[in-house]
Amino acid sequence: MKPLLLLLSVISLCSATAEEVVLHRIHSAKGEPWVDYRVERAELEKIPKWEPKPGSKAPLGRDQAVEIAKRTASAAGVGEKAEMAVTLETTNRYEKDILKQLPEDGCLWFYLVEFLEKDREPVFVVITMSGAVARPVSGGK
Amino acid sequence: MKWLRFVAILGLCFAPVMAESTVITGVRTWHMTDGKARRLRLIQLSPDGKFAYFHDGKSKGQIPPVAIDLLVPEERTLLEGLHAGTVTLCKVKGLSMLPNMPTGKVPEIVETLQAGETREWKHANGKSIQARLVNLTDDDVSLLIGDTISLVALTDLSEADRKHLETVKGGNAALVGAGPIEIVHYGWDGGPSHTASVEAERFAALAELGSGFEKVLETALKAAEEKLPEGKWEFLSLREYTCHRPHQVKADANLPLLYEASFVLEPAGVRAAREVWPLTVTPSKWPGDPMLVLHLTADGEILKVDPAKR
Repeated sequence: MKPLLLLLSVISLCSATAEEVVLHRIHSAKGEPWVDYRVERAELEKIPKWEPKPGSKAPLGRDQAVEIAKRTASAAGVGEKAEMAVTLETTNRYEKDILKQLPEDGCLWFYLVEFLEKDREPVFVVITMSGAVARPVSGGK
Repeated sequence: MKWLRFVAILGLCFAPVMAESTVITGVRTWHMTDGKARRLRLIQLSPDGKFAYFHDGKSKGQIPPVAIDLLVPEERTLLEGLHAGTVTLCKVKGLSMLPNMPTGKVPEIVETLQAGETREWKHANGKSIQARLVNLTDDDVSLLIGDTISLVALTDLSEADRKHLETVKGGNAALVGAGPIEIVHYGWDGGPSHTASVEAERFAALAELGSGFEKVLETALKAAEEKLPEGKWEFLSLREYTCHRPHQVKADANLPLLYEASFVLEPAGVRAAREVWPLTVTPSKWPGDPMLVLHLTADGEILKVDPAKR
């Protein structure tokens, strides 16, 4: 998992700035450190506040998000035939410390795209509604 | 003209080799020369072709070998053909060939069967029905309509139907589970779990659909808005994933995309959700916030769920 995480981090490093915030956190069930997905605050603020409601189209469509995620995953060595799961979600309501640092006016909904391959750890790619790829950073336990 | 004669003679020489062998299921009413008759399934012949091994279709139903000389001449000739290779015994995997297939409403049996695709079957009297083949013998077919099995004599079927049955016997027609296919099996930790199933044809149709993410999201949100009190629920997430491969589905067949829409509920929301979706709301002893999960298909259908069988 670690080399992959490093590779994904490097891929998204070019977009890293001091003004990064954690958008999403994935906890490991195996007692390994959690992984934070960090994005520039400006990327979240770029898109006005949006919430899924009937008749309200998402700023970024599922297909666009998948395309971006596939490019990122492919650069990280994920095969084309990997099984994929796509989730539209927002920052976990119980992660109070994460919620505190997020901008009030930005769009906090994102796509989490999961790539599953046999005999391999799943690869997660987090895409903001502005189309930015969040940078995975290994956190605490 | 000499060469024409040569070709004709050559053709005659090879005709028996080139002729397609007749495929039989071996399931029929077999008649003995002493006038007795019994409905049995032929399993095989002895290596010298002099004895036939039959099964009566019940468990431990293999009966002692029968000398083919004891059968009526027509059936003896058939078995001689089988021994000579001009007749072949159908061995299509999954094709049910029971001597005594039950008829009527038998859902417990239907669940265990493999069936052909739904097609139009034409009766000799001109009537036609949409049904699936669930059992084939040398003189009749069992057709499944809904959960009811009907028996139709081959002689009552159209020429096209009989041709189709030859395709089936040749192993060139798809057979899938006749019962519904379970596509969702979901459970809360320590709580009741639920399942959702679709008919084989619906499964195949769903497998051909691409992503319906936006449509599904709209459907799930509208359903929640319509059925739950305002302000008493919150949309959490929509997950799109590929359905696991059910055992009835071939290894190379496409699989449908499925969706899980999750909502967090306040007490008034829980009460309302339990009225409409009683099996997909977290149980009352759930340690976290109460939640509702809706299972949807790519074309926006909210799947009806049943309690999981333990």
